Amino acid sequence: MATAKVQFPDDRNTQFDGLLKHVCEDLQLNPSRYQQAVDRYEAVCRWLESEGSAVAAFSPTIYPQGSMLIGTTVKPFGWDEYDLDFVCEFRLLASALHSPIQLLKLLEMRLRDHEVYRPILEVKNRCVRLNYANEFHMDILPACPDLSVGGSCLYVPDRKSESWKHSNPKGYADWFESRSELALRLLIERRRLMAKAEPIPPQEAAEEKAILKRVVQLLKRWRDVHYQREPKLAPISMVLTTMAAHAYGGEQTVTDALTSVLNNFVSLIDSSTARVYVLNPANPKEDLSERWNDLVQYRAFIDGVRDLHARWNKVLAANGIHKISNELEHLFGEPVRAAINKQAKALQELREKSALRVASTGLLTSSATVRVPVRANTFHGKQ
Amino acid sequence: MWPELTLYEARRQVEAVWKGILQPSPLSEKYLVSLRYHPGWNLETRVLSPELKVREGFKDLPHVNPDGSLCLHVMGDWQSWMYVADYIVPWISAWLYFYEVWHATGCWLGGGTHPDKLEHRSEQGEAQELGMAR
Repeated sequence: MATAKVQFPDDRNTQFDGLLKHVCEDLQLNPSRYQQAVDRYEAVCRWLESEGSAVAAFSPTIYPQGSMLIGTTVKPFGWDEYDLDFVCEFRLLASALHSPIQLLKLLEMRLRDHEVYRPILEVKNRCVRLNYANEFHMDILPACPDLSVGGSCLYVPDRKSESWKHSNPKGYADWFESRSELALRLLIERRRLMAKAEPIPPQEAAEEKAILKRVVQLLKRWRDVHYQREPKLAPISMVLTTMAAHAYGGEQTVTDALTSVLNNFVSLIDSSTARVYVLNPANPKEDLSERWNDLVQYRAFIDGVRDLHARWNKVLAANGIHKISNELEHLFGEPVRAAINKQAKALQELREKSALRVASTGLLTSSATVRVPVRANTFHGKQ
Repeated sequence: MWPELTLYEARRQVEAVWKGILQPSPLSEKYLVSLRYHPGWNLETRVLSPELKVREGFKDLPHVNPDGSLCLHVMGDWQSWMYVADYIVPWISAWLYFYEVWHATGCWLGGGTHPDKLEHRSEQGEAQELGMAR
């Protein structure tokens, strides 16, 4: 990211949005950790392709799926190991294998041949997990193309049911991206109507596209905080992400987008006589919200959303950095203080550079249109 | 210059009192403050409402005199020939901002000197950033 000029805006929306964006930055996989994950999965891929590998003949390719692919990673609540999901796609026909489990076995056996992977490997229902202590765990999901549907559709093995399941992580990511671009498309359209010719700078375009991603991060973080004592009742990431992407209306700030998404959630719940169904947009036959067949699970979700909606409205109405911070901490936990700290440090930096000004209402700002500077002073202790 | 600040009481040659409302940031509360100036003597600043509160886990408010007035400056920062409005009002705003941040985070991030910082440090681990001297 380009080194942004330190600023301290004087309008509430920009300040509040800045705070939420700092919270999201704190939650997401940082660039060096991201690069580390990329290096690791590329190394796995090389190992699968290399000479002597029983699976090399099936041209394995590995790529991120889920939050890492769509940019909505959230650091786990209470510890520091991210969950990162990858697909390992083999060019082979599902019908050529005598059972779906054979595909899981092929991946597992090849990884067990490697002295680094062997001790950190764990076999799961649909994937092989590599546990990198204090960094992340990589869940590698073996897959083969689903030729009956085509495109990016995949078959993935399911150990418990000993059957193939349908999946389409690339198709899902494409759908999510198209929803993320809504704000940008609206912006381009508005500019076209106003006959503004100059293109939108790439940085601004990237920020517009990131609004929905930030909303998803905040929802996932709220979920981790809210259901920390009953994690089994927590809605799954895929459900929250899909619901948010459907509800998003192209709002240009994280604050407005989250407000509109929550209003939409509440009216959806209120207007549904039975439960809400969340289908996979990349495979409408798949009910992502299957768990809500259990009424206890569904009740936990709607109670949670109503609570979030009420608290969010309280945050929006609060005055006082400490009061806003307190309300936000209820929702998102400790990254809120770090976000307040970042804003305060930016203000202090401006003050030390004599670039801070004050408006007639007392508002401190970096805006150059305000005349009176904040001159150097030293807050003194007790006399 | 400061429409939010009105000269409240002026006893000729004795003292002048200004009162006004300041909001240091768009997310902040609005504070009623007073400035009392005795020509050639001193300048006293107070927050009248909402009442300043000590953060949980702390003994005192940071950068406040025992009489409850704010410690905005050290000798030399301000002298009586300087315009009160142009100097002092921005400092009050900055003080109020860092006061709210202190409540939110437990850290005073506005810098400054703090004669009793050792006392704070030994008694309250959380207060280590209180005395970040410049």
